[in-house]
Amino acid sequence: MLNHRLPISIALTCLVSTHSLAFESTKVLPKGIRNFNLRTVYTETNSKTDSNGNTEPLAENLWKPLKFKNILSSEKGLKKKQLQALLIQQGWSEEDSVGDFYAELDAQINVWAPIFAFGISKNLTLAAALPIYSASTDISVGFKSNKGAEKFISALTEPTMSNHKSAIEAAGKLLNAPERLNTKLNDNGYDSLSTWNDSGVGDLTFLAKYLAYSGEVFKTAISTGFTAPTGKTEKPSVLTDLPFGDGQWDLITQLTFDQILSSSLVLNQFAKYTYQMEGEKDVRLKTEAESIEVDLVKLNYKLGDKIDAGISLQYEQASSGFQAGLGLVAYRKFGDKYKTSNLEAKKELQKNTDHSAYYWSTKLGYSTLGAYQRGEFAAPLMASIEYRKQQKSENVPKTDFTQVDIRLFF
Amino acid sequence: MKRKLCLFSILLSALTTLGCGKWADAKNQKVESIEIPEYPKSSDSVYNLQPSIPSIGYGGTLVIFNENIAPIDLADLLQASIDSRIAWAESRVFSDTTDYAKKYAEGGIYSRAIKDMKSELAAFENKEKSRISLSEEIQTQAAESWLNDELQLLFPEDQNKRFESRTVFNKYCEAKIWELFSNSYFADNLYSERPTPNAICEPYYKEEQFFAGEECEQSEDGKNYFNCMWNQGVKKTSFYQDYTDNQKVQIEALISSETINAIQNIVSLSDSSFTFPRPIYKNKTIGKNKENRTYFSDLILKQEKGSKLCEAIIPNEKEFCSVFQQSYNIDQLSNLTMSPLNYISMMEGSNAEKSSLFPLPLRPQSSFSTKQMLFYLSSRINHNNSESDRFFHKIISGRKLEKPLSTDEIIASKASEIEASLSGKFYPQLSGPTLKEYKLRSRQISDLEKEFNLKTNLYSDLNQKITDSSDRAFKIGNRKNVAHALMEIRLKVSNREGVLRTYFWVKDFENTVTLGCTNMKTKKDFSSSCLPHLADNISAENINSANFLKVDSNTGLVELEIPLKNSTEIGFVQKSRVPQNEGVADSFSDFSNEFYKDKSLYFELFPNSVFNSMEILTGKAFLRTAGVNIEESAVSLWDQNL
Repeated sequence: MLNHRLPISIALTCLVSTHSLAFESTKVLPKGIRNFNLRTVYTETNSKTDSNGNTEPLAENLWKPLKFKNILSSEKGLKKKQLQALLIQQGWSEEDSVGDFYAELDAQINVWAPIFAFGISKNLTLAAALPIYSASTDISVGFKSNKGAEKFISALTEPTMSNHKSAIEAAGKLLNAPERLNTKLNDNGYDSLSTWNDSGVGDLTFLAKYLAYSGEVFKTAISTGFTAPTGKTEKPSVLTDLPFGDGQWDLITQLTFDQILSSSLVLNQFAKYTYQMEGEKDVRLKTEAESIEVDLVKLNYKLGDKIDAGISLQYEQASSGFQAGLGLVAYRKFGDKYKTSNLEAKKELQKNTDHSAYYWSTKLGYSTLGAYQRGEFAAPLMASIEYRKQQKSENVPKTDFTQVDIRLFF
Repeated sequence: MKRKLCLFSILLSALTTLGCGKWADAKNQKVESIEIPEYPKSSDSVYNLQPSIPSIGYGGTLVIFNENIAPIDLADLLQASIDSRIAWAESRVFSDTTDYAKKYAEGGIYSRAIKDMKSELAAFENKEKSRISLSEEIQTQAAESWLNDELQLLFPEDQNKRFESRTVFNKYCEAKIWELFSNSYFADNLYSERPTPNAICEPYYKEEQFFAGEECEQSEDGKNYFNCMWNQGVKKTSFYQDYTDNQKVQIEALISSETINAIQNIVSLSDSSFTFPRPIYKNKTIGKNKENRTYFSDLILKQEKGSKLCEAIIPNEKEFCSVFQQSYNIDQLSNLTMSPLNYISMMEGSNAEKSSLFPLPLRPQSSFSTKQMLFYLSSRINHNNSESDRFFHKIISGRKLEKPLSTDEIIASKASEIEASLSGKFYPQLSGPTLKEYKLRSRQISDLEKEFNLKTNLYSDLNQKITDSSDRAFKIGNRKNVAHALMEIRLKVSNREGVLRTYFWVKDFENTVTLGCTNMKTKKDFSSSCLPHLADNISAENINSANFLKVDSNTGLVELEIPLKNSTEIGFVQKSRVPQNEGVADSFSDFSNEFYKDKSLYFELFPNSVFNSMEILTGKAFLRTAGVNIEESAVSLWDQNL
């Protein structure tokens, strides 16, 4: 029934790395200069896009019909056979439904990412970031019976059948369908569908940035680094939790170009490739037909590699410290791969794990660096606010982000 | 500058802490589902009992399921059970709405009325027709033209068919000569004119110069025409001509001018004996009683090879027993080697197998066939005269011949239609106001019969549906792995003087009844001290007490527990299944007698009504040990007027 875990915070991890992706720069810290950046990201969502880019509820996977086969799976012995016999006698199929579940899932995420950077030499800067998450989800499941339920109950209460006891029992079960869904989840080792919240650290990222070329007009920087799996991953028994990390090491490499258009205007382009190494985790072997009564196994997996690329026009007025920018970011993640001989489960686990998204970004900021150098301000600070608007996406949460950065140089 | 910076810092701080303290909050989703149904009956109609209906006798089945039952078998059983309830209910509705028992059942208003009206009409017709007489000339003309008319009717476009059929009819006419010769009615009477074997054959007899001799001339004083029938009739037929010379010698030695009177005596009703002439026959005597006479006649007509029957009459006389023996092949009609009796059977349709050798097309716009009409006019049953004889034979004694009584129900039912078609030819014809009244009364009878037949056929169809669905349920119940036991049970319930009684017994074990009782006011069970009510007419010798009988006022649920410690008396005994393909499936129990002894049978029954006409009880029953359900059963009971 619940086919896919919520892929929200995976998408967020890219936002809390050492760089602000939309507004990249070839700039490095001068030798011996350190920088502390407190980055805050906030987002909330209750929808996502499908593989065709159409918007659907975040809990779309719970918008499922309740079929006779689902009811049968919770029955056993003679009672199960009696229901099967009724289906045969009435000419119904196990695929026929008696109603539909529907649900709303709401997610909120706050991330505070302290990022520390240090200028090793005039061309090389090292940086580390450890995000801290505070996230919550809330889910509400509803149910609406359909004509199939009416036919089901009226067949049982038909005087020639006269099985009112079973009809009353069945109608009661339909009325308590969400509760029964939770019971079924509990019976199969899952937590009930309810409010969830948690906080903790995410994956730790180390990055080295080297200014490879610095001309009058063009500048080029190369970045490389890794992400360590320090954040908690999702729990297989909780269907609405959010992972703070993806559970395995990542290798990162990035190429950044700046074109100096004037003393205040820079055109930036960048491309970043993230190689996600293999990992191992507990996974429910869900299939399209059954997602609850499935085995919990440890599986080797490899998440799809990610490519981020962007272009932006950045304005910085040294005299006033005013900063502004407008950028476009493209994000792509390739499909995940799971190692299992259960082909149905494999297909389901890998389904819709290929992500893509395009964002417009705008930025406003203020820097005291100029004022500090002129002796007009006590500390070299930089503060910015960035708003990122999702333009188009596939298989990712439909969400916009607000990001705030406060940097202190020392 | 500082002011700007302060403002910007405040804004950033606010945005940094934007999400703090906020938690996800999904909108509450509704559950909209079908209403929970209610039980059909309330406490004041427990078991469907009403003040006006203090007692109901339910009958039905108890199926103790095998846990390995296949869903498809269970579905079949469910459908058969539903079909059975519907069939019973339809029958009940039909019976109630038509007042069937009073009106249409055997001996009911309709059958008595139809019988009386028919009788009255027949009396009316006879009375009116007795006033009318047809001339001999009209009847003779009708007889002479009958065959032509019929063949023209049957084969209007086919002259060849008419010709071929006439040939077969001619042979039939010859067979009728043998029949008359060996018929005691003929041998027992004197006639003023040569009696005709069949009036419709007279043109053929004349054409082939049968009955031409002096011995066949008319006699005002009357004579028996036995010699005429033998010499100018039988001996001229092709049946006789087909005998071998040796057979002819034997036959002529048997029936000669010296013996023919004795033969006549044997064939006639008078007791007589006959001594076979020497030297061929050895002075043996037969014909000492009437039975022998019949056998002798049949021997001539059937012309079968010496049979045990013949030898029983005339022991050690094989020569005689084979004297009329014809070697014939029934499959070769063209050879015309059948015996006279077989030929008559073929033409008059009295034997389906023989009749099929000479099929005739349907008589256009007629409810009867040509063969049925021929049978009606010409058949001589049990040595009695035929209808044709009644019209044309002139018996010197003046005795009026009786109208033959047909033993064939189909022919008898078509008698009035056959006679109507021959009205004005062989039978007098009603006319004017008499005919009008006759038709009116006939139509009234016909209308009544139509309604009667419609209702009885419908009722019969409904009962057949009951039988079919019941048979099917038993067959399914007997399938492998469907049930451990299938039993027919009875539950008689009554509500008298504030006490609800339930009498339970197994079919064929009516002598032991288990009784449960509940006080309907206090709803307290007192089965252990309860006795049957006289008005319930329980005739069982042994009355056991139920463990309890409980009633739920809200749902109509009735709970009854029967102890099975006396299982063999109650009827919970091992019973073998009827093997497949060996008769009708019946009740059975695979469980041993011992198995049941330490158990109880707990019923959980709900009342309902099908088509608002037939009361039913459905639910489950469980075999229990110490209050724990160990085997589940389905129960289906309906009002069977027990």
